[in-house]
Amino acid sequence: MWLRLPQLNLARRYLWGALVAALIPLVLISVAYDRYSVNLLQTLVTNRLSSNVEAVAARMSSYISAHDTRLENIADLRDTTLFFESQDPRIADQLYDLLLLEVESPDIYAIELQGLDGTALATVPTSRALTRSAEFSTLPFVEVDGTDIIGPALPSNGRPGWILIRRPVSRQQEVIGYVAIRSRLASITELAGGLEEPGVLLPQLTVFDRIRVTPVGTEASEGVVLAQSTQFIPGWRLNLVEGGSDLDEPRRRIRYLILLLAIVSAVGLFFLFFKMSQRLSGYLTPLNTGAQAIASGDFSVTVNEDGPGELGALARSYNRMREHLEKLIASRVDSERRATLGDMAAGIAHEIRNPLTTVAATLHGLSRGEKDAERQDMYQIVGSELDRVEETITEFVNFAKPRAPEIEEVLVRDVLKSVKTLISASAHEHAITISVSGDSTLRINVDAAQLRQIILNLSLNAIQAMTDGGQLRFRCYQDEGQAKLVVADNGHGMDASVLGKLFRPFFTTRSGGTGLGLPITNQLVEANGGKLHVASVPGEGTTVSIHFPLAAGMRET
Amino acid sequence: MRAMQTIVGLVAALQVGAALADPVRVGCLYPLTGPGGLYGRDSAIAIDMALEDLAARPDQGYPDLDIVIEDTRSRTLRSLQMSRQFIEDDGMDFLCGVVSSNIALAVSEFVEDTNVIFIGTDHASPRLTSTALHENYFRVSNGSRQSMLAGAQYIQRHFQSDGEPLNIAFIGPDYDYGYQSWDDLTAFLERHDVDFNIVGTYWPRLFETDYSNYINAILAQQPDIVVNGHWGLDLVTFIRQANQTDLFDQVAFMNFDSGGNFEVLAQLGDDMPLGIVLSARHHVSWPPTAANSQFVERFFERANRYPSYAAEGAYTGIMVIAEAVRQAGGTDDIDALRAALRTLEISLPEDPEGFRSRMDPDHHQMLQVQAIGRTVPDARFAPATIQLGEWEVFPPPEHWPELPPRNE
Repeated sequence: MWLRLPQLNLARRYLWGALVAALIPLVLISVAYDRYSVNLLQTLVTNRLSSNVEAVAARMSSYISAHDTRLENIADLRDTTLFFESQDPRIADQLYDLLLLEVESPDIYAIELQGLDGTALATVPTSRALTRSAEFSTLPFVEVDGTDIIGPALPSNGRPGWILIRRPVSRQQEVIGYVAIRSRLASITELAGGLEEPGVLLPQLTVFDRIRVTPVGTEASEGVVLAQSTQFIPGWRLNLVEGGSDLDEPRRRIRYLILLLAIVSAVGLFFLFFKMSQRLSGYLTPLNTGAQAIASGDFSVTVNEDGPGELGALARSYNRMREHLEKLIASRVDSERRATLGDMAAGIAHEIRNPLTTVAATLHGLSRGEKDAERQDMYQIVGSELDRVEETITEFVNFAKPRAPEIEEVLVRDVLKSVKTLISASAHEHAITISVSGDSTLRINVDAAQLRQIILNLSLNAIQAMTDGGQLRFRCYQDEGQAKLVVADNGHGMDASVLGKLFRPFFTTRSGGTGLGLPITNQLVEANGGKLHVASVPGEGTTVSIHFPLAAGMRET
Repeated sequence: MRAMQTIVGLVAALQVGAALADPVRVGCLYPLTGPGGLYGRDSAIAIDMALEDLAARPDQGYPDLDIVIEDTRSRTLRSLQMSRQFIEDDGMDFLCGVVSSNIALAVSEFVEDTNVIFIGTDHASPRLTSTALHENYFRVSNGSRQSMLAGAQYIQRHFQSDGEPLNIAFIGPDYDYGYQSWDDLTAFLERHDVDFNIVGTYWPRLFETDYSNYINAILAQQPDIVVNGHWGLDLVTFIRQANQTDLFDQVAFMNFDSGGNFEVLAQLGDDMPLGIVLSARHHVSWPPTAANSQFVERFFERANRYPSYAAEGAYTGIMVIAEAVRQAGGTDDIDALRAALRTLEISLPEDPEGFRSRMDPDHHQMLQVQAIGRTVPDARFAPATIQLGEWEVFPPPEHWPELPPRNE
């Protein structure tokens, strides 16, 4: 397989699954909403417009009917009949005035009295007589209940359009002529003006689907019909057509906006889930790594505890578990090691001390009988070396199998004074001054002998560090509910590498040192419930601080 | 109820002839109420001013004038009935006035067969001085044909450009005046070799109140120029409604015959767009002559408002009648009256320096200067805040221009 997807952890699988579960409904809802809204809009528009179109068509029909009523009244006049009977092109004054009154209406251009062939015998007003054109006979012709509707004649030659509505004039059931109203076309089409929405909807009067007229009475071009009236006179309809793209544009814009929002939501969800997955993995992966490290015996791996909610609690629990496990195992190992070491030390002491005792006794006997001074010196040297071996064995046995402390309340000042006395000669020899300061009443619960040994060991180390003289300071005081003992020198100090190995058994920087002084000291501190800390700066000196629990009476104060 | 106003001008006339002893009777037809009523009321005031001017010249042989003004209410039949009454019952020597060309055509048709002369003062359709002309009809103010001639020259001067044909739309009232204006404009544009396309002609009814569909239709055609043929309140309504759209930003808007009428400027006030091209038959701010200023100020003193162009037309009508009667030596010889009118020349408030209005003898149409301007801020004539400026003056041709009639 050319593409290998990274293996997903459980958190990511859940998150990606949730993402897909969120996206699929989003897409389905978007598509369904789009279809629904489009259909709804079209349905609403069509229903609303259809009723409006029908209403306007009814008004158009009424407009024609009103003219028809006028014509009926004129056709029934006696003067009208006389006009056709007399063959005189002059109209009687009364009839003329009546017709002139009718054409006062701005909707009527003229009233014609026509012969049987449709020729205008008289026109009122005469100034509006038409010059007949060839197209006149080609206009749409509809007869409704005896009334002829001719037209519409579209605007041409710089003149507006019109329609002709005419009724026959009869005498004894015989048609002898016609009376016709030439009506302003725009007066009909303007009735639909309220339906117009510029750039969106355009009403059109449509006659026999070949003549289309705008609301302002001009010729209209064919368009997409959105709504259509019934025929209010045969062949005459009112259509509502799309008037441009102004309607589509906002509709398209809304659809694109919805689509864009859906895509943005999907991308947003994807990004959110991706970041959540990354973040969750960022907390879970170190826990997994830490757990694997613990399984392989490595307790050094800690995890970040800043995670939110349960993740942070889990990390903190993990770290506590790791620390407890580390201490438990270290304690167990230390106990076993010490037991082993104690047994080994006892064995070694027994096996070495016995021959040494024999050697020492023999050597003592030999030296007493020896007269030669040179040999006496050699016996002395061998004897002192044997003492050193004995000391080393003693220290080693003490380290490997320390004595259990006998806890008692100790006045720290007394211990410090006794140590000062012990080392004062050596200090003086090395040009070292000793100072003691602090709380003279400070008491702690420790083994007094072991505390003295602790202070003594540290003091001796300090004296050895001040080869060119210096100052050794003892201080004791209360510090945050504990007793703090400080042994400080201004000797040559130690660097970090030395500090890191300070408590290792048998590590020493001095020739002739056993490397057990500080480990034993630390062991004694811990055995008495204390904590030892060493701080040192090369060239400036070393400060050893020891914290012990206060005596019960001290804690009360 | 008959609304009538009678004005009798008693001129201390010289006894030039016995015929002058009887006052000359003039029946004037103006709308005093209803649509266009302001035109009639302004005309009545101007007629009074004319009589005052005639009375101020007692030694020049002008006749006494007995003037009756009837309110036509802009109705054709009412106007026709009044005309019959004026002539058949009242024995008027002259008819004068009439604002609407439709009414004027009906009155003129009736007057043709009488021995009365009809002096047209306000209507403007060229049909009256061409196909419907007869010997008893004379018009004493510029008709729409002269306005359209000047308008075509203005368009040629300012808008004929670089090979691209001008897209022109026309909107005018749906009656003879509108049709004739459009016919004449297109004919003169062709005569002046203006390359143009007609992108739309629209005919809302006279006294229409809603032009929104028409304005939308014009905007949809995207013309370069819209020529408007409305007058009076129709034009005011159209401009107010067009102000709600960007029509005036999109197109060059022009009205050459009546758009610059003071009535329109006063009614629109700040609603009048700046920079549109207008003209009228008389302007309160042009020509800048003493005669025109005095006419405008005298009118203001009487009416407490400035005159619409109808006032100067009516003033002219009365002055022309007086001058014709003076020249004919009375009213008994109608042929002499017609002859006097055919060759009449007269100085009028609307004439610029060095020009006298004169009658075209063949068409009975007064030939006058036409001044076209653009709307500019000018508050000298309250309540109008905008007047015409940047004037361009078009003297009349030697003869009233003939154009072939269109078939209808």
